[in-house]
Amino acid sequence: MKISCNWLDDWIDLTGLESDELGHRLTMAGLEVDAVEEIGAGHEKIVVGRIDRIDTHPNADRLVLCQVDTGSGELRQIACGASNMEEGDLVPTALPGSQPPALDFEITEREMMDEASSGMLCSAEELGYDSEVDGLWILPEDLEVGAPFFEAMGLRDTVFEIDLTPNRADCLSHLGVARDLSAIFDRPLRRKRRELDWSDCIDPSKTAEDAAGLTVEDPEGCPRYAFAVFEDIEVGPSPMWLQRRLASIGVRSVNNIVDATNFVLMDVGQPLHAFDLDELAGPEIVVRRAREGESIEGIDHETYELDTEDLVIADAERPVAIAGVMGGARTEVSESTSRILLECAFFDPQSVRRTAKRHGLHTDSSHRFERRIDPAGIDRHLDGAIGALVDSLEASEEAPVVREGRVDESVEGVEDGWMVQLPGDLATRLLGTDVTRDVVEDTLERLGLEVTSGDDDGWNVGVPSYRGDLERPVDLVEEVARLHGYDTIPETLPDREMGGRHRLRADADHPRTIRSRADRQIEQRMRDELLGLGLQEAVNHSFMSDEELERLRVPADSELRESAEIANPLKADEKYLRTTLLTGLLRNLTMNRAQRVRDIALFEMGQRHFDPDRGDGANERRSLGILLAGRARRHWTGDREWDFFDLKGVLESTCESFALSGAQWREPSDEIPWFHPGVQAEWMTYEGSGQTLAQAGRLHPEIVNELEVDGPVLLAELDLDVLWRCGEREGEFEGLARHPSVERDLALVVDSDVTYQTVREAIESFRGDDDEFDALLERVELFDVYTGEQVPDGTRSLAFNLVYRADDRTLTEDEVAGVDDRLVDYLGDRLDAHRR
Amino acid sequence: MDVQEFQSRLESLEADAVDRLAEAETEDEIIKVKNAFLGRNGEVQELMGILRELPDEDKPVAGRAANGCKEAIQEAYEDRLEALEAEQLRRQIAEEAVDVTLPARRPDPASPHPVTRTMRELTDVFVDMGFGVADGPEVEEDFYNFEALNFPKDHPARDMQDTFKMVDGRVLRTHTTPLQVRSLLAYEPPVRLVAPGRVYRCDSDLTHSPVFHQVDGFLVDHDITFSDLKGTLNHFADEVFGEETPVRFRPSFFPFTEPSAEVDIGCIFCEGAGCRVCGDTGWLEILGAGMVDPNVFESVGVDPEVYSGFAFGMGVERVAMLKYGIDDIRLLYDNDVRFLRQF
Ligand SMILES: [Zn+2]
Repeated sequence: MKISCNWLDDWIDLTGLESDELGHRLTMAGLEVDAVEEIGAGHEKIVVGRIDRIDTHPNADRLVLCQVDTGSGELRQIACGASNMEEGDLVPTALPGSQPPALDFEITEREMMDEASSGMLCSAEELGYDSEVDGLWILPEDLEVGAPFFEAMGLRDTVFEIDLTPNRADCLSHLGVARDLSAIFDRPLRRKRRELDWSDCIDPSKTAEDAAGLTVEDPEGCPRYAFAVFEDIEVGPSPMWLQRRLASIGVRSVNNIVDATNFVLMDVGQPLHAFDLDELAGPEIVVRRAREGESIEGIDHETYELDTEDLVIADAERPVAIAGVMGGARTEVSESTSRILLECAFFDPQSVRRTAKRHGLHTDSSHRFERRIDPAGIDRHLDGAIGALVDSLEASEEAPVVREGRVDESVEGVEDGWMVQLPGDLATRLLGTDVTRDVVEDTLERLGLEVTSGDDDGWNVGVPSYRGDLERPVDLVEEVARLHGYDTIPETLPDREMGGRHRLRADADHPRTIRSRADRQIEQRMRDELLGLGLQEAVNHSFMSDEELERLRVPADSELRESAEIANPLKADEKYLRTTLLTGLLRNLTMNRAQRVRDIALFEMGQRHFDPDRGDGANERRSLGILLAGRARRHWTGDREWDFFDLKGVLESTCESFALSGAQWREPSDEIPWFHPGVQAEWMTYEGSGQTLAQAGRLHPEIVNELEVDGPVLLAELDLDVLWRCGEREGEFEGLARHPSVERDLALVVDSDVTYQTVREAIESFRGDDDEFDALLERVELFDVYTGEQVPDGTRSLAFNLVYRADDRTLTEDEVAGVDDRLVDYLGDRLDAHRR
Repeated sequence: MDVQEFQSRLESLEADAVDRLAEAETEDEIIKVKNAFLGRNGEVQELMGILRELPDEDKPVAGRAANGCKEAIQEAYEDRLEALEAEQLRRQIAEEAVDVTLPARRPDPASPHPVTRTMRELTDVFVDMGFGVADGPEVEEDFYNFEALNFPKDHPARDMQDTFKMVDGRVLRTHTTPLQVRSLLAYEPPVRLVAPGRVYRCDSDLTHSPVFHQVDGFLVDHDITFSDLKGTLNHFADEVFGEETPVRFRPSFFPFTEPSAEVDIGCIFCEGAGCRVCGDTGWLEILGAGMVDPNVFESVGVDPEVYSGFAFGMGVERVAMLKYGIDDIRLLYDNDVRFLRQF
């Protein structure tokens, strides 16, 4: 909100306070000043000039040459295209080197049609003000020639942009800010603006009731409604003082009626609305909820379909305004309006807010009603509004004013404010510093609160109705702290044993929230491991689109389709919460490739979200996503591309600290459509009904082509919750072997469709058949896979290195050869395997 | 043949052997030469046959001479072998020499994402002060995110946080402050926890991302005061931004604290003189904080007459952007590898 210092001067004398100091003190009192605008500053070269002589331009019919006195002692020739001035007139004169506020170029010495022109005579528009006058801004005669224009006209101003917190509804006006300044600087409020005596304008023979009827059908939504009626008015431009006021805080001038209502809004915070009385059917005002099927065209010329919860102002036939939010187009004040009905009311904050939200509207008026205007201010503000309007209508002072109609459904207990009991020790207890009684009393009194002694060294504090935010003792403590200054509060460290256990509450059963240190450390270790392997950490946002799942060929019945949907996404393609981390990593891939980065190794740890209606309760699952593309290693001795087995390795070494001895890799039971059909796998926690720990594979070549990313892309996603459930691996020392081992190499030829895992499992199962084998076999390791001329078509050779060891003796080759032979026979029976 | 002749034959044999050993270039050749002289049918052996034909009185002399010759050849042979090995080693070493300034072979250097890293640093400061760490859901009930935190329904305070709503009526948490509610419902005071995590707001520009991260913390116990809050956050500023970092508390408003404060630190770029980053104020807004509002205590069933507490919260991205001089928040979520490598 913009607050003008010139305007504040109406309410409080700020003489002697620099704008820096004012801004700082406002900020430190909780009225954060975001920006300070110095209006008219830096325009010293726009001065008051007097036109001494006007000559015709020898080379141009539409131009004249003015000899202008700008106080320098010499006359200055300025060419000008206007014709509304006479010799002797004072006009704003922009000297070379200046830039009038509304122009986007600097004024220079130049020639116009071969005649020198040393500056520019300005219109009001060129200086940033609206005007009906066509031509130069003719200034009052009493100004000093040569004086800086903005200062001379009293237009020099400092405007604060204040970022108000929603609790300070009372500060949404110049009066409100002046009240806080009054407390901050301990200076009294005043009323400097002329108060018009408008009693002459009242025609005692007419009453408001004669002009229009009033029915408030919904006193809950509208506890107070008052209006005044003006007749024989002439709608036109506002007087200059009013335009200036509004212009200083960036409000566009509309006409003398609308401007007057805006003035009151910004002056005291009371929203008003003027209806064209002749357009009101009845004429009658009915404050009620909208009826089924009603709609209204707003002054923004949008049509709003009304809800039966929306409070409206209606005439005898239909709604004419959305109460407290926006007026209707039909009854809007226009140039032809001659009678107006001026509304001054209090609408229920929540009702206004719900309606404004429902229609996506946010206006100066709704902003204030939502935050609660002063309910006790209606009478005073209607009087003030009448004064402002009479002032604004200056040209037609004869205008009779018909007042007044008002309905008073007084908001319970708020009429004259309320009492809060403040315990004597509360400020000290909460702030941690001794706050003296004087400080408490002085601060609260400066704010306009009435402080009297209460029980037990406490106070009874009377709060005026405009401070809706002061309801509880603690609210008053904040006022004391805020005005006394947070910097007066000392710094201490909590004086207690920290780091003890948290005890569960005995009186309720709520889920724990604390994450153990061990838990956090494991996650950190995993991250460190991934970084050590050369993978960069990615952090993606959590959104996902249907298109992204479509591109991955995710089938309709896949778990990944069971996503949680956002009702109000920022973008259409951010409608769902991610059910996989892969979509984000693939976005990172295409983005990096677009930047011509070829080698990409990324991981991300984050949440996947699922539709809560799925029923298994696990709506949020921690996951690890991995993407590898391009070269695993770039080196002058030779490059190497990432491949599937790197991916497996990354996963396995990352999970090293978990108890995963039973976990197995296998071909997925159902083909995963986004992976290469021949390069995809699942990592299961254990055989049989195990849980899927991870899915890993190469991105399907078709998708690679569609993404135009070229080359193999390896992807994996690991469920960290499943991993965590496996628990940490616990090392146990088994002693060191005392006798040497015997190593045997065994190359087995098997059919190509027999997997390594099958052979490996068969070797393991031979342990059950052969006690000697089981006792001696220490380790099995695959060291070669061969397909080619040396073995029959349709087969391949898997070469294993077997390590045998006995606890109690040194084994001989012969002893072991026999075991080997039995193993080969066994594998021959089971898998049709034979020695190569 | 007399003994002189025998001796001179030995001498020439020895000389011959030494010459030929010297000419031999490989281990095989050297062995062959040795065998040609010292082998079973070698030339020295052949001469030994002649030794038997010499007069007995010459035999000892000749025998010594012959042994001397054998030893000399053996020695020459060993020397030659050794020399050859030395030569080979020298050659091998020469061949194996590398330009040690050539680049190393190693995995790409990688570092945590600036957001994760900053979040961890911020959290650790409080962990070191004795705070525990709390964790909770990102899709949250309105009760925990708003209502229990004294954001009434249809109240403008809710506009302070542009909220993503889920179709099912829940919300994407707009802060990690719901953990305050969840934790106070679960644990008996004293409770002192920080809640780092991902939060969401419907807002997107140079400094706002719809997804960002927060570290929120609170301490509830007997006799906790605003001065404790000030001391704690001062210590935090010292740890994160350096000793003696100025800290300023300004009155503000949050529904869940009263009194409330915005906390600024002295601008780390201009040290208070005023610059573009701090908008010429000399201060950077870093935290929101305050004393836990009695309404929050009431909504979790903790008696505000008995306990008091402070709470604070900060944006991780904001701190990361300041610390690393990043001017566009979107860079943090693009995951451009060239960007990630810089940390
Ligand atoms: Zn700065």
